[in-house]
Amino acid sequence: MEIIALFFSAILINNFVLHYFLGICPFLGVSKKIDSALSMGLAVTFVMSITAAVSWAINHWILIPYQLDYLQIVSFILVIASLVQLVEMFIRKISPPLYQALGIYLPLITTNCAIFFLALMAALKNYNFIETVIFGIGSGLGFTLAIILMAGIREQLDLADVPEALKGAGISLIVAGIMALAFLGFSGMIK
Amino acid sequence: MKDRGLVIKTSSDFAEVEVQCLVESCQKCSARSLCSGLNQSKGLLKVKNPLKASPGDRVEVEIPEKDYNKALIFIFSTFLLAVLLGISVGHFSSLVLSVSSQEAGLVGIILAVLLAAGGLFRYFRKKNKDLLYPVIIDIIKKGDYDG
Repeated sequence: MEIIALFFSAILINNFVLHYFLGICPFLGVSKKIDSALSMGLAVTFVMSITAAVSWAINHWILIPYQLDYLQIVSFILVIASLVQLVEMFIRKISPPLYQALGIYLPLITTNCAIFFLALMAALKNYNFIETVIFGIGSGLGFTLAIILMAGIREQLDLADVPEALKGAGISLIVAGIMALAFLGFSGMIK
Repeated sequence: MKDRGLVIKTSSDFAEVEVQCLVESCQKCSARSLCSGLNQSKGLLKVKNPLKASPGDRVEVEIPEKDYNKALIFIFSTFLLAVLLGISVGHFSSLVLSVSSQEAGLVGIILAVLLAAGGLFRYFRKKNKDLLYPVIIDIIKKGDYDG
């Protein structure tokens, strides 16, 4: 039951984008179309779930036993960067045109502070392995939900009569703020 | 998405075209030059050349962005399912085999992701590789170079 609560709280209550305001760069950068938002969300969810598993293993099997906790930040950054490099190499191998089109996608995942925060948060809260992975997947799906909702709204905003001064980043940030307020409504759902 | 560019080099059915940007999201991005994908290839894009454009020609290129998104969604949802399957199999097998659920879960995830990677590799090799390449759809201006 606790695992289910952790999963849903990561998606709805402690949403990385709308509660902690992390991962704003891809959230604003790749939320113009629902298709690209979904692919970015799934990519981040996958990297988050693997990062959660690998960083848990490194933290509990290497850093804590050898009292190297102070290397947490460095090792988590290394894990995320290596994972993104692996994904990049894999995509380059299976489809060169897809790789050359990826452009900003992979750097946005590597530099996504939400992924780094996930690894740190899981270590800080002392989750066990299953909890860490579920937390990773839930956080990734929370990110996906937020970015898809944002993309849906932005697609509609293209047709709306937005005041000149608010066009672009202004209206996007206002929408993000209103979405964050709306998500506050979930906060009483799980104690 | 369509983009305009300059043909730099041609080889059999393909051409190398210098374009402004590859995905629509990047079009107005001020940090575009820092983007690794563009930076590594200096903005060069390998495209299909059915119109037999020559070096120096200015061409219009159709970039199949929808197909890219579909392919990315397919790849990452497969990986994600593999992670879920791996952790579930690992966790439940730890109850049968007397190993800790952490070790079994991690091994399960790694094996499932490797299997998914192998499956995706085979799938994309079987599929027509040229499908995702951008295509030259129009020659806007013929270049001076005719050799």
